[in-house]
Formats: sequence, structure tokens, C-alpha cells
Amino acid sequence: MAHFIHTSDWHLGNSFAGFDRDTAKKLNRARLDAVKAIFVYAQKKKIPFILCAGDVIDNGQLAAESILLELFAVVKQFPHTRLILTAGNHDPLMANTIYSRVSEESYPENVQLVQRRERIRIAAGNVKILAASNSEKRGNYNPLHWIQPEDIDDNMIHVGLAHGGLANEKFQDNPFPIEPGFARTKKLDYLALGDWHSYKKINDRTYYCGTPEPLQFGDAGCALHVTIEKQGAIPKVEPVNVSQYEWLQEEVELSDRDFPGFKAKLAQGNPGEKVIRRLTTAGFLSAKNYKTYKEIIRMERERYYKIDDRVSITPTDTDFLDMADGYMKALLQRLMDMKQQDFPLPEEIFNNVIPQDLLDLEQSLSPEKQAIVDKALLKLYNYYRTLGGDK
Amino acid sequence: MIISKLELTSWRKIRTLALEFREGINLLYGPNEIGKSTIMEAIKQALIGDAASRRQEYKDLQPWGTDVTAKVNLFFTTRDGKDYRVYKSFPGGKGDLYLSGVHLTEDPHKTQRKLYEILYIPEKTTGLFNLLFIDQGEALNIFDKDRKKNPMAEETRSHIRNVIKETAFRTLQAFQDSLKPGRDILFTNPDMKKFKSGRNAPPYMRLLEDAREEREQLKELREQIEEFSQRLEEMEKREKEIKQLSVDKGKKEELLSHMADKEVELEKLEKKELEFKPLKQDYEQFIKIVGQLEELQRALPRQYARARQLTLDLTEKIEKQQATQKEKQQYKAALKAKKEKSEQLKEYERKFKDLEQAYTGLLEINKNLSGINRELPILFALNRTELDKDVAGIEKKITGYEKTEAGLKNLDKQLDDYPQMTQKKIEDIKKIAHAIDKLETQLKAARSALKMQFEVAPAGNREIAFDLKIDEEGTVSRKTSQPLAVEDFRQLSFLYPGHFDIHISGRPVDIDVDSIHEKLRHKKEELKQHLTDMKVANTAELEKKFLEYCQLTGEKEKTQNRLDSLTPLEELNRQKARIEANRASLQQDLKKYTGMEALPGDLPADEPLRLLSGPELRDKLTENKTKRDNLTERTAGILKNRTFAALEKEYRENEKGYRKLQAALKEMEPKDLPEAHQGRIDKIEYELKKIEQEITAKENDKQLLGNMEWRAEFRCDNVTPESSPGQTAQQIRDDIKEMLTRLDDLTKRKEDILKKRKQDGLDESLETEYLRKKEEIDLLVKRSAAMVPIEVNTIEKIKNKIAEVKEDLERKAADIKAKEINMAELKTKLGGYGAAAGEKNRVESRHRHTLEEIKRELTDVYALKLLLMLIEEEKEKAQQEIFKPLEDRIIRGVERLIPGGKYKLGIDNNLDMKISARDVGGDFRDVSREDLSFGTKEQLSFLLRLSIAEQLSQKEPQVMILDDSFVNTDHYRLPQLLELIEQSSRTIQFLIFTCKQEDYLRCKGRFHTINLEELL
Repeated sequence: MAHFIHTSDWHLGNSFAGFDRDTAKKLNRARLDAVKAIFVYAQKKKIPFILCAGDVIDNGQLAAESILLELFAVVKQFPHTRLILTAGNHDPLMANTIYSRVSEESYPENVQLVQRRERIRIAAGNVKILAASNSEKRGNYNPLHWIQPEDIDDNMIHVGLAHGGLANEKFQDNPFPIEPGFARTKKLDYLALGDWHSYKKINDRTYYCGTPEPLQFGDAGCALHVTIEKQGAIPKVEPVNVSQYEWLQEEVELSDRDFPGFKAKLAQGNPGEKVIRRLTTAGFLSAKNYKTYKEIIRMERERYYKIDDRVSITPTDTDFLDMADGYMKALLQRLMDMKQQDFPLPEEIFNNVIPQDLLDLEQSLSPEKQAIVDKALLKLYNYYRTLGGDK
Repeated sequence: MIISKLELTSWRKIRTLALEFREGINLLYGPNEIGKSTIMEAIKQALIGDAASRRQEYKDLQPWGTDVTAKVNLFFTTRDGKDYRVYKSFPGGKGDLYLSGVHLTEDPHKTQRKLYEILYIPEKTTGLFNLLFIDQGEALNIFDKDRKKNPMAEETRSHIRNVIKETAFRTLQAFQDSLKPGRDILFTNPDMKKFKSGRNAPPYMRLLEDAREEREQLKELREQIEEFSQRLEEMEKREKEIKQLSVDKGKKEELLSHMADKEVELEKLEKKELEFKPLKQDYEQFIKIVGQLEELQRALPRQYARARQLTLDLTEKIEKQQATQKEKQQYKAALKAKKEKSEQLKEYERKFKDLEQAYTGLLEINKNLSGINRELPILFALNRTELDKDVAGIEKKITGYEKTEAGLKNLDKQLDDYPQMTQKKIEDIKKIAHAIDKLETQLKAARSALKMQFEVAPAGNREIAFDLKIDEEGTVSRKTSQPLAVEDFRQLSFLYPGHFDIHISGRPVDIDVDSIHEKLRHKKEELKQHLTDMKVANTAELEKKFLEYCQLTGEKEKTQNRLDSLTPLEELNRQKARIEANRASLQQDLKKYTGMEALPGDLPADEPLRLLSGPELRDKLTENKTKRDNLTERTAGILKNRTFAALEKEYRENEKGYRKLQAALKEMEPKDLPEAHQGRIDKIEYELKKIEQEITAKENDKQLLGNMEWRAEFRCDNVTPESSPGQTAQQIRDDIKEMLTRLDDLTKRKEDILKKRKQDGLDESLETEYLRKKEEIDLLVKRSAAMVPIEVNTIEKIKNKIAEVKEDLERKAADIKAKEINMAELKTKLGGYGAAAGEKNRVESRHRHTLEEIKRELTDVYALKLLLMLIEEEKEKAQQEIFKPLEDRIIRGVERLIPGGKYKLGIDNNLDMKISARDVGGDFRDVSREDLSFGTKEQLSFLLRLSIAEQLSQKEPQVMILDDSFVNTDHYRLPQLLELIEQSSRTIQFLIFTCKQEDYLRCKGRFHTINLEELL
């Protein structure tokens, strides 16, 4: 009986470009912690070896050697668990690869990096691993194409290990395309694949485990605990969650009716919780609610990785319109009209604001028309509020 | 101001009264005559009354029939929270002002000035109180056209305008000012052209600075990374190259090993080939000799056959040519005989042709002569016929002329019966007749003429209708109320049915009838004289006669014109005489040229000869004569003392001899030739000579072939010779000779080789030995050719190739080494790539953050700029449409009171209200205030006042006093009005006086009620 962990896409040393330095550091630490959790699980369950199907390092040619050495330090803590690594498209075995930048001596004894293509026999469970490492970033071929019928021995359990996309019509341009029926065709008992960041069972014998620690919103991977009774038996695959951080996306559609509960609706976090949040808001609010809303958003901003604020003042807010009269009302009405109808904003308000040498940034700097008008309306509203509310 | 208290003492009929008011609405009620108007007056006087004055209006304030001064104390609070009291007594009394109980002034004038100051109203606009304090029954006074009654004096309007302008600006300005904190630069430097960076720069500018710095950093980092990435790419390239080179090297090494094997095999082959070479040469030579011998043995019989065939051909040709020679000689003899006969015939022919010419010439002349003789009479006949035609034509013209002349004479005779008539004369007579008619008409008309004058009295107020009948012609109905004159020469009847009829007839007094009579008589006499002259009875007859006269004179004129157009008679007679003379001359010529007395009558009518003129005819006759003479002379020349019959006989005899000789020549050989010439005989002789030469040459060739060597072993009996075009007997003989020589030589060489092998003791035939060894070599070649590289099959080439591959391998090894060194170098230069990439990511992230912050800041700046722009525009608008806020307020009020959009209101810049209402078709039309109900007018008037008060209250709270101002307002609109009042009561203090408090109390609203009945 074979017993092993299938994992991939650790992406150690990711830059987490959208985050501040500290968070990025924390998120990277979490990645290594997730890997450690896999080893802890393997040790606990007495699983003899771990197969990692590529993209161990986020950028194998650039990453600092320390990243690999840190991993080795973790692996060394679990000398009875063997780790077999393949290189993916993020860390291919090509010029300046991190795998050759660290000395051979620094490799722990229980780590084996697959060099191009290898047939590895493991006595425990009578397993034969047919593994391939990618030696380029893109390749229009199946990394395991070389497996021949004579590679299949009697009474052994055969496991394929590679990093690549799925070769079907939907993903025609995927690098390293692997046919969905490859395991069956080549008589492999299990095909351990890496590349996709979320867990996906392709068929009884072919699995993507996904990344154990999300890299971005939407990633939903895990480590897979695989058990195969004997050659030809259907593998038993058990997902093991080791992720450290939760990546949550919230979407809120607002209106004046449900606004009172808005703040309560926002997720309440605990200090030190490991959650990355993104909030998307939309809808129309009266000026009164909008003001409160803006204050809440300002206060909550720190708790969110990103807030997509698409809320706008209701252009027919009669309470607001009634606050002003005379010329102030005309002014307010004009702003409301600008919101409601597609009047372009006067060109002169944009003149002479951005210095000449930064004009190329204008496109990315220019706020949306709605945002400008809403801001103006908010100023007007605040003015009346400071005057003492109702007139 | 907000009035808090009013105290009156001895004020008109009020002995004492103290009223306390509150902010908002104060409802003061009580029955009629309780003193509501008095209280309102007291408030007004407290505010604007001249306490020092002793004018009657102030005296009227005293209790009736006493000298006691009327006193008023008014307590009020201003916007800034100050409490004032004003005390005034009338007339000629005091005017004191207190602030929080402290006496400010006691001089009535100073007090008044100070009051105006406190209440922000200029002295001239005290009328404002009349606008806001509405007396009972005066609710509509703002619509009054009488300026004195209308409280909206020019000064008041101007004051309202100024206050509104000020407040409007103030609101906009206040809002603008509220935007200032933190954004001063937008106010101090709105076009933002010269703002500075640094500490005082606006926050977004500092952020832009950051962004700029980050961009610089990023640029640098990207360049660094680009450089790193290039190195990495280079390294990857090197790696690939090394991989490729190693593969190539392996292949080459494999090739080298194969080539070494092949080299050994090829060396073996070379040795074998070297040994085989002399045998090969012998064998090849032997094969060649045998081949050549076989070739000769095949060729010789063919050549002998050719020689035999040529000999036979020559014999045949010689015989054939000898036959031809004989034929040609015979032909030559016949030609000579024919030639002699031809010459004989030619001589005879010459003589015969002369005779024939003379004979045919004569025949032609005779024919010409008879033609000439026949033509002459026809010419004459034609000429005479034409002359006859001319004479007949002239005679016809003469008759025509004479007839026309006779007609003219006849017309003259007819005209003798008419007097001299001219158009003018006839017109004159007609004029006299017309004048007579006119005079007679005048005379007839002068019988009655009348003018009647009708006067209708009294004129204008009465109308009479009557009928008017003139000359019994019919009745015309007339009507008049004004004097009317009727005037006519005719008889009039004036019919005024039921009253009277008047018939009037008479004659005009101003027409001289006698004079007309005299004129008429004179004219009639004149006419009579004229008619007598014209030999007619009356003018009608005159006109008829004149018509006839005109016709005759017209016809005469036409006839005269026709006569003038004809050729004169003398000329015609002259022409006739000329033709007659021609006819006589023709007769003479006839005799002269033809000898005929008269022409025969049967001349052909269609003779084609043309008619000739006299001289032409004569020329023709002369020519004719000359020709005839000429022909006669030629005949004589031909005949030469012979007669024509003798000539003819001689011609006939010669013709017979000539034809006979001609037939004889035709029968002589060769028949295909009509005659034989010397040229032809010469040609035959030349051909004969040529044939003889050819026979000689052929006989020579025959002899040549007969003399050559014929070898018996090369039999040619059954050999068909091949054609040998152009091959002469000499060439054939030479060929055979050469072939025999070569045959002998080759036979000898063959025998020598065989003899030598025998001497060398070689039993095996040359061929067997050769083939055996050859097979051995072929096997070796085949084996080496199958060895790699198959394209290289010589020892030399393989040696070169081996050297080349070895060199290439060395080069590749060196190349790999160099690339490996290069890679190692590049690797050392990649240190810091990861750090730079990390740094780039960090700066990019920071930059994104900065840009987001800038975006937020810019949203604020743009929003601010937008607001500032709109504020400026609104300010501008406020200048243009001062009363717009007022108008908006009234429109809102009207919508509340009169829903359904029935009315549309506008306030112009003169503070006048424009009202329009929907017509039946739904369109808005201006309406005058008279068209509105009292209730609506009352409400509109109130709304205008209320809006003004609201506007003024923005500067200083206003007081509005309404003294039963809604008496015309119905129970639906009153609550609405009160709601409006309540809304406005936050800024305006209302004092409402009424005797119908229940109307108000029914409505919702917070009223401070004061029952005056209890107090007074």
C-alpha cells in the first residue's frame, strides 16, 4: 500500500506586491508555515514521503538563496519524511536557478530534486515515481511524454509527478499540456499535478492539489493525503487544510433602507486574526447616509486589503435638496443634474493641477466624474450640517 | 427684531394695555372695534413715529377730547441678542431708547436714527412696515396702481433688492469661505499656475512630489532589472547553446569512429585495385581489338555491296543518256526545217498586211462621209423648228400687251362718271353729319334738367327713405339722413310713399337752345352743299359711292402696274423681225450646204443633235465641209490610180495565199511550237554536249570500281547495300582500301596478345581471369560504400573528412569552454537581481498607494474647483436675476395653495409680479390681476410679502402683522396658508389680529393666543 502527500505551488518568496512590506513578509512566513504544517501532518500520520509538483519557489531564477535554505531548515526538522521536488514553470531548471545556486551540501538528505526526468523507486509501499522537472518557462509538450510501457513494472504502484496545464480545448495555450486521460493511457495509478492554485480532481487518478496557502483571492488549495492499496486500485484522496491565512471577499449593495445595518454587517475581526479582506460596495445613498458611510469606510480602511467603493449619492435626494434654497439650491441642483445626466465636467477644473512632467499619470490619477461630483455634494452637505442641520 | 412686549398708555381709546408677545405666531383676537388696528398702529408709531412732531396725525393719537399725551413702550430683541426698549409719547413728546435697561438716547430724532440703524432700514424705506404690517382691508394694496396707496415705493423696492442681493451673496460667500480651510491655495491662487512645492504646497502637491521621486526610483530599478534580465536571458541563451554544442559534439565523435572503420576498408580496396590495373588494361585492349575487328568484318561486305550497286547504276545511267542523246539530235533537225518555213511565211505576211490596211482604210472613209452627209439636213430642220417656236412666243406676248392696254382705257372711261373723291373730303362730310347728330342730341337733352336739394331735419338723427324714378326708366330706392342733392337733365319723380309724390320736369336755364338751332341749320346747309357736289342724296349713298370709286381706282392702279411690267410693244416687234431674218438666212444656208431647196418632212423628231446658234451652225457647216474634203483626198491617195474594185480583188486573192501558207506551217513538227528559232536549236546543242560529258565521266567511274581489290571472304551477294548519298566511286574505293589495311593490322595485334599469354604460360583465358578479379573488387567497393559516411568513398576524401571533423570537435570543445566561462561570469553579475526585483515591487506598491492617495486628494481638489466655479457662476446669476429666490419661494407657496399647476408666476427685476394661467387649450397666457378672484389675489399678495419678509429676515428677523388679512380665503386654503406661516415663523415673528379666532384655532399650528377682550 502506498501512502504519500501530494502538494504543489508553494511559491515561496512571493513578492505580494499589493501589500505593504510587513504584511508581505507575514504572508511569506505563512507560506513556509503551511509547508511546515504539511510535514507535521505527514509525521503525525506516518506518511513516508511528500511529492511536490513544482513551483516550490515563486521566482526560481531571482529568489534569494536564503528562501531555499529556510525551506531546507524546515525539512531538516523532519528527517523521516522524504521530500521529492520537481521544478515548475516558476522555478525551472535553467540558467541561474536557485537549485544550483545553493551548494549541494546544503540539500538535506531527505530532499530529492528531480533532474529533468527520473524514475524513483521507493521501497516503502513498493512505489515507482515517474517524475519530470521543467527546464524552461514555457513548453508545448507534456513533461511526462517520455514514459514508455516498459517503465511500468508488475506489482508496483506507479505515480506520475509533473507540473503543467491541462491539454483540452478550454486551455489550449497552457504551457506543458498534459492530456486528462494521460494516467489511464500510461497505466499510472496516480498522477500528481501542480500549476493550478485550487484543488481540482480531473478524474479518479489525476489531481491538482492547488497551493496550500492562498496567493490571491479565489485560491482554494490544500495538501492531498493519497492512499493507494495496490497497483490498479483507485487511489483514496483526502484533502488536508494547512492554510494559515483566509482570503475573504465581501460584496455589499447599499440603499438607504438597509443602510442602518451596514456597519454591523461589516465583518468583525479579532486582533491578530489571519484574514485578508477585500470589500466591494455599490449602490446609492442619501447625502446624510453617504456622509456616515464615508466615515465608516475611512475608519474601516485599515482592516481591508482593498475597498472598491462604488457607492454614490442619490441624485434625487429630496431631503438634501430641501436643505438649500435660493442660489445654493440652484448650485446643489446643478450638481445633482451633473450626476444624473451625462454632462461632462467643466474642463477648466482639471487645468493646471497636475504638473507638466507628471501629465502621463493623468489617466491613472483622474478620479471618476461621479466621485468628484459626490465629493462636491458631500462638501455642500457638510456645510449645511455644520450650519445646524435643518434650515 | 422680535417684539417681546408692547405697553400703551392713553393711546386713543385705550387707557392702558400691556401685551406680551413670543417668537413665532401670536394670535390676538377680539370682536370688532376692540382696538386691533389701534394696537398695530401703536407698534408702527413706536418704530417710525416722529415723537417730537405736533402734526395732526400725532395729535389724533391722544385720547379723544383730551390733551393727555399718548405713550407707547415697545420692547424688542435683535438678531445679535440685544434687548432694546423704545419709549415714545405723542404729540411733541419724548423719544427714548434703552439697551438692556440702559438709556441710550432721549433725543427723539437721535432715537429714531438709532432705531433705523438697529433695524437696518434706511429712513426712506419706512414704507416697508406698510408692506409687512397689513392693515385690515389693505391686503390687496400692493396691486394698487395708485402709487400713494401702494406700499411698494421705489425706495422700498430698492432696499429689498439690496438686502436680497446681500443675503444671496452672503450665503454663497459663506459656503465658499467654509471650503477654504486647508485649501487656501485654491483661493489665493485659483489658476494654480504659480504654486510652489515644499512645505506650503497643498498636500496633493507633496504627494505628487513623492510620486515623482518614486517614478525616478522605479525608472532606475527597472533599468537595473532590465540589465539583469538581459544578463539572465544571455545566460539562458548560453545554456541552450552549450546544450546544443554538446549534442553536436557527441554526434561528431560518433561520426569520427565510423570514419576510422571506413578508412581501413578503403585502404584494402585501394591495394586490390592497384594489383588489378595491368590485367584490366590488357583485357580492355583485347576487348577493344576484337570489337574493332568484328566491326570491320560487318562493314566490309556492306561497302563491297555499295561498290557493286554503284557499278550497276552507272551502266544503267550510261545507256539511258545515250538514248536521250539520239532523241535530241532528231529534234534538232526538225527545228531547223520549221525555222526555214517560218521565215518564208513572215515575208508573205508583210505584203498582205499592207494591202489589208489600204482596203479597210477605204471602208472607214466611206462610212465617215455618209455620216457627215446625213447630219446636215437634221441640223437645219432643228434650227428652223426652234425659230418657228420663237416667233409664236413673241406673237403671244404682243396680243397680251394689247389686251391689257384696252382694259386700262375701259376703266378710265368708267371713272369719268364719278366726281373727284378724296378720303379727307369724305371724312369732313362725315364730321359735319356727326356734328349735326350731336347738336340734335343736345337739343333733345336740353328739354329737361333739374337739381333738387333735400334737407333732412334734424340732420343725423333722422333717416328718410324714398324712391327716385328718372325718365320713367325704373325706380331706385334711396335712404338718407344727411342733405342730399339730385341733379339730372331728365324728368324726375320723387316718391315718398305714404307721404307724397313729386314729379318734376323742366328745362335747363343755362343752355342756349337758340344757338344750337342756329348751329344746326348752318351745318345742315353745309352738308347739303357737299352732298350735291358729290351727286348723292344722303351720307349713306355717299359712303356707298365712295366705296365704288375706291374699288375702281384700285383696279385701275393694278392694271397700270401690270402693263408697266410687260415688255414694251416696240421691243417685241423688234425681236420678231430679228427671228424672221434668221429664218431667211437659214433657208439660204440650206441651199448653200446641202443643195436642197426645202427640207424633207420626214426628219427624225428625236434627233440627238443639239440646236446650234447661228454662228455655231455656220462653224459646224464649215468643219463638216473640211472633213469631207479631207476624206475625199485620202481616198484618192489610197487608190493611186486603181479602182476600189481592183483593190478589193487584189486583197481577196492575197488573203487566200496567206492563209494556205499559215496552215502548212502549223502542220510541221514540232507541232507544239508555232515557229522555231535559232535560240532553241542552240539550247539543244548545248544539252547534247553535256550528255556526252556525263557519259564519259560515268564510264571512268565504272572502270575505277572494276579495277579495285575484291576479297573473296567478304561476300556480298546477299547483302543489301545501305544508301550512300554523295559517296562517289572514288570514295568507296578508298574506304574499302583503308578498311582492309586496318583489318590486317588488328588481326596481327590480336594474335600478338594471345601469343604473349601463351608464352607467359597463362592457361586461363584473359576474360575469365579479368571477370574473377573484377568480382572480388566489386564486392569490396560495395562493402565500403555501405559504411558511414556513405557519401564519402575515397581514401583521400575520408582522410580529409576525418581531419575536418577532428578540427570541428576541437573547436566545439573550445566553444563550450568559452561559453561556460561566459556563463560563470554572467552568474556573478546577477547578484542583487532578486533584491532589485523585490525593491521594485515594494516601490511599485508604494507608488500605487501614493497614486491612490493623490487620486483621493485630486477628487477633493477637483470637487473644490468645481464648487468654486459653480459658486462664481451662481454669484453671476444672482447679479442677473435678483429676485429669483423670491420667485422660487412664491412658486413653492402657490404650488401648495393652488395645486395642479394652474398658475405660473414670475417676479421681474422691478419686483412686479407677472401671473399667467392655463387657458382652455392648456397653454399659459398672461392674466391681469382683475381676472383673479379676491381670494387668490389676497393669497398672492400675502405670498409676496411673506417671501420678502423671509428674505429680509436673513439679515434681521422681521415682524409681520396681519389684521384679518385672509377674509377672502376659503377653508381649504387657510390651513395651507397657516402652514406656510408656521414654516416661516422660525425666522419671522407673526402678530395675527382677528375677530374670527375659531378659523385659525381649527388649524394645526402653534399659536400664542391673546384674547384682547380680556385685556381691554
